[in-house]
Amino acid sequence: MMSYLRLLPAFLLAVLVSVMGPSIASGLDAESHFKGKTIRFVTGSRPGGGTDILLRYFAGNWGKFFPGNPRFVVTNLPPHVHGLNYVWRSKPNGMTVFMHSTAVLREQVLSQAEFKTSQFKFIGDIGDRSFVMTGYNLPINNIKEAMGKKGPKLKYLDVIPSPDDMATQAFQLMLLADWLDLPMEFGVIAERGTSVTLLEMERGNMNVMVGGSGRWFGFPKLRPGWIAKGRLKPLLDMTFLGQRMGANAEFKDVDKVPHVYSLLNKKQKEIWAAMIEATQAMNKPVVLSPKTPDNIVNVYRSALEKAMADDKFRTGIEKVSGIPAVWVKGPQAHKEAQEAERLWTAYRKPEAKLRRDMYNKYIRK
Amino acid sequence: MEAILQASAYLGTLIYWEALFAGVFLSIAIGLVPGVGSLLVMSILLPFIVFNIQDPAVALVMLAAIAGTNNTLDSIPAVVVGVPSGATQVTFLEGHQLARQGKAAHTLGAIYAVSAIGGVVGAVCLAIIIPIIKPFILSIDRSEIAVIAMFGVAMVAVLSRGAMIKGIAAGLLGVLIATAGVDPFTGARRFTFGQIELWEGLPLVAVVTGIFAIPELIDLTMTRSPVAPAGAIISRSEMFRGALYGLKHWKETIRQSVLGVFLGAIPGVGSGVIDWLSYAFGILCRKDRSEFGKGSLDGVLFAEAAQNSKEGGQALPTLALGIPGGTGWVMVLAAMLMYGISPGPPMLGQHAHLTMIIVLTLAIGNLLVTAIGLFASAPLIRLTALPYPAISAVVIPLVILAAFLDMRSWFAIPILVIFSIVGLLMKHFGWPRPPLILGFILGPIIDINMQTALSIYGVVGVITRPLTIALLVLLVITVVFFTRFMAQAEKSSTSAEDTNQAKPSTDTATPQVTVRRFTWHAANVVPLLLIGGMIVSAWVSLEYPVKARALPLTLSVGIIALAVIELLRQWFAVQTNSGQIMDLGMRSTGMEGATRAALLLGELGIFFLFLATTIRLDNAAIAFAVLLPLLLLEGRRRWYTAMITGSILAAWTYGFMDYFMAVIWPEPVLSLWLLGRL
Repeated sequence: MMSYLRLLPAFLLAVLVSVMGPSIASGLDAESHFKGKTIRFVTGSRPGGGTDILLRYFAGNWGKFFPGNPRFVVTNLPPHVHGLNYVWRSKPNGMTVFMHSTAVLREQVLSQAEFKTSQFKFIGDIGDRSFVMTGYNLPINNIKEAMGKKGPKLKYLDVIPSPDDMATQAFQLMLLADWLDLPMEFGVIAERGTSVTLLEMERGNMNVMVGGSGRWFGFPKLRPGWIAKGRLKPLLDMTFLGQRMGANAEFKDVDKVPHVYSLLNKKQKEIWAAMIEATQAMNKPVVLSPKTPDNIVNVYRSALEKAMADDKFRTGIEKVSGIPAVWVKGPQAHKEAQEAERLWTAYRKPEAKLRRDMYNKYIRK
Repeated sequence: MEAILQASAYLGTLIYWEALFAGVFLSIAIGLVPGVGSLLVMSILLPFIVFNIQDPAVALVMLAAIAGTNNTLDSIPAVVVGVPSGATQVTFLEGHQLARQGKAAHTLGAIYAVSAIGGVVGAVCLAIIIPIIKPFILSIDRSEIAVIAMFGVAMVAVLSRGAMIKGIAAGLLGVLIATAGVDPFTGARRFTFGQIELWEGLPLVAVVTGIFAIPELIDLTMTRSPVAPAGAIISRSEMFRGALYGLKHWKETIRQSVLGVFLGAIPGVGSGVIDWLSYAFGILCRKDRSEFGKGSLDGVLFAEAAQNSKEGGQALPTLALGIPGGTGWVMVLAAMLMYGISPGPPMLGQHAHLTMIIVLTLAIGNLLVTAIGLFASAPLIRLTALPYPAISAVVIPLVILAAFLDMRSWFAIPILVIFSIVGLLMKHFGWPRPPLILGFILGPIIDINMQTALSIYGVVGVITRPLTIALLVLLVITVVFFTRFMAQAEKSSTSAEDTNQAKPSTDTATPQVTVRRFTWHAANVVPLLLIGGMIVSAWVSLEYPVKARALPLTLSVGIIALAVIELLRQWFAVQTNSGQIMDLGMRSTGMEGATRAALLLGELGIFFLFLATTIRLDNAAIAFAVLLPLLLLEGRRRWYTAMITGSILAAWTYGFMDYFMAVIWPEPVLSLWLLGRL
């Protein structure tokens, strides 16, 4: 046993050395602040997903647009709320930045969320915001042809564990089914994602899906010819804030696809904006912790602006993500986040009730 | 034919071989270093590859080599030092016992041979089946996947041989701990105790390391002796003899490999399941099954053949449907899309040559890894001849770091500690650990797929699916068969013991419990702890919604019942000994009581010393401060050996984990507290 006691001085030495770490630099001269530093680029997504790959592209190529050319290292902290909490608590020195896979607000509903969306410092929102409902092997050309009909059944699967935890896409389809009298059936699955969705469609277990730009622009690559041959049809344009979906490689007649706004009445539009769009309107927002000084935020915004103006950088985004390399600037994204949070907060109680009603109608039956 | 010629033309180019070697060497690193998975490495590399390699064929060669060849040399840690990964548990169970018998070289040689055959069979099947695989993949739906996973449950009967009640209880405990996390069907946060880190469930690496590796490391270190007995043949020629043994079993290897291809081709059947199912299938096909669980080389080969061939299987849905078959193939698919290459029909048409290049890469890559293994792994096998403390001084920090890296949270440490204690108690008191891991892996697959199937088809829909019915019938036959086998094996084990009383085994036998009237015994601690733990578990479960509590509550009650029966057996049975169990016993059992207790305390002290220092690990000095004394005092190593080893671990900690991965280390609570800075 004596031999183990001899380890004690070594252990104490280790502890002593460990507390003598370098202190964090303060004060800002952009060049010296970032030069030779490592910036932690956090995401709540797991390694290998679309956001993760885009983030890794940013990590490898964004640094050169910063003064001092800092190094970026990706850290995956799933689930999303974990990553967001981490950035919220991080020191406001610009050494931690976060990219989310959709609007940040969606995670704020969770009791574990420590953050307030509107208080993050928004650097920008990357990517096209098209949002489309598509149908697979259905004898209808758009959603209007299914309204008020008994069939064909529109089958949809999603993660719908409880009214509070149901995926927003499921909730929005339930609202549409209810408001537009659609012949929809809902089923519960344990995981989501493009692969799962495609597999379930080909197995015949589902025939409608909703998805953002990654999926819409990815279809021509993932399932070439499906849209061109009419096997997969865009049934409804659900792009947020009344904007129109973009044309992809196989579908150009986007104007012929009805927009959800054209089918909703005023009250329904209000609910839609507060409960659906507020939580999903962004694509891949990039944020810093709330107390980050403006001069650091401006360095980030300027670096993103320069990067997005660079053809090579933008081509890279399109190559890795498959979506058009458009973006929304930080101040605009911040405004949108504030407005979304205001709307969403105002509708929290009615949303909870509506979610329960929809759940009881379509899941519990 | 044109595609084959076009693909073959690549073999004559330097760039092909450069990409192949790069991929193979990375896959070797992934296999050998705990905690570094192929998905992580590939996701780091992907942007670099896509933007620096113009020819998609070359990029796919590199990625396919990483994804498809990392299942061979990952056997080395499992066999040589007793540290299994998520996919080498059977290899550990059987192979490490062989290493203890001094047969590590022979075992690894055989593994390399069957891995090569498996890899080639997987590649050939990929080439042949890809045009017709789609209907097969689409016909296997959720309910069928659940039933396929249930075949693994039948293995609990086999794995519980010699201790049926303990084995079933352990299996149920595995399923119970797998329920931790967010329940996808109710949203309930089960057993997360308010920790977000636990929402995704308990991490496989920390659980497997805690249950299997840490108890093994502590036990072997206490013996102060090498893994292999004196006189063990550790040479390259012995490895070749092992390879010859593997090659002689080519028929069985091909059979197991084909099974691996089909299991790999079904999206949703994970890698961790395939080696257990393949092992079970192999046992099923054998007449004499008495050797399994005691260090059976054939058992290792059954699992390893399928592990390698499954990569060809997992490539099938990836290339044919654009549905990634496994974690590594996610990145291959992502790369294809980035290069504008669509999966599905184009992979048989305009991009058929790329399919053939992947086929060739899987075949050649596996042969290459085998050759590297045969010619270069002898020094690693010599580790079995080193006093184990010298190995554990390095491996204990590495496995702790691996658990930490896998979860990216300090939460991995308490999880590791808890499961290490559970594993140590199970190992010491003869509770088989494999059923626990099997339950942990299979439980969620069965639960999630069956619940999804019921949601989509309803009860009637599920039980009227012809394929589900056929598989269920086959399952019942298998269970009956395995139960009979278990009964026969137990009978033969008991009779063999009766005739061999003079030769008690201290290695794989459960402790002898010959209580003839009510009395307390140290072995009672496990069922008592189980009963206590399960009462708490049942109590906590009551807080969840009815649907979410059903499974954990039922499991808790079931485990309590089994633990009570086991306790009564221990208290009152005339003779409760159950012969040999399918697990590795305590090697240090034969040591004198006081010495053993002192050594155990010492080893636990070292373990916790390292854990304590991980509280501020981002300092290379820690690796030196802990490792050097360990190697000098515990490992009896020379100072320069200790320095070199310490430097390697420090470089790994500081260079790779801290600088390259920017791991988020825990707050320096301990050191701050010591210096009054809190």
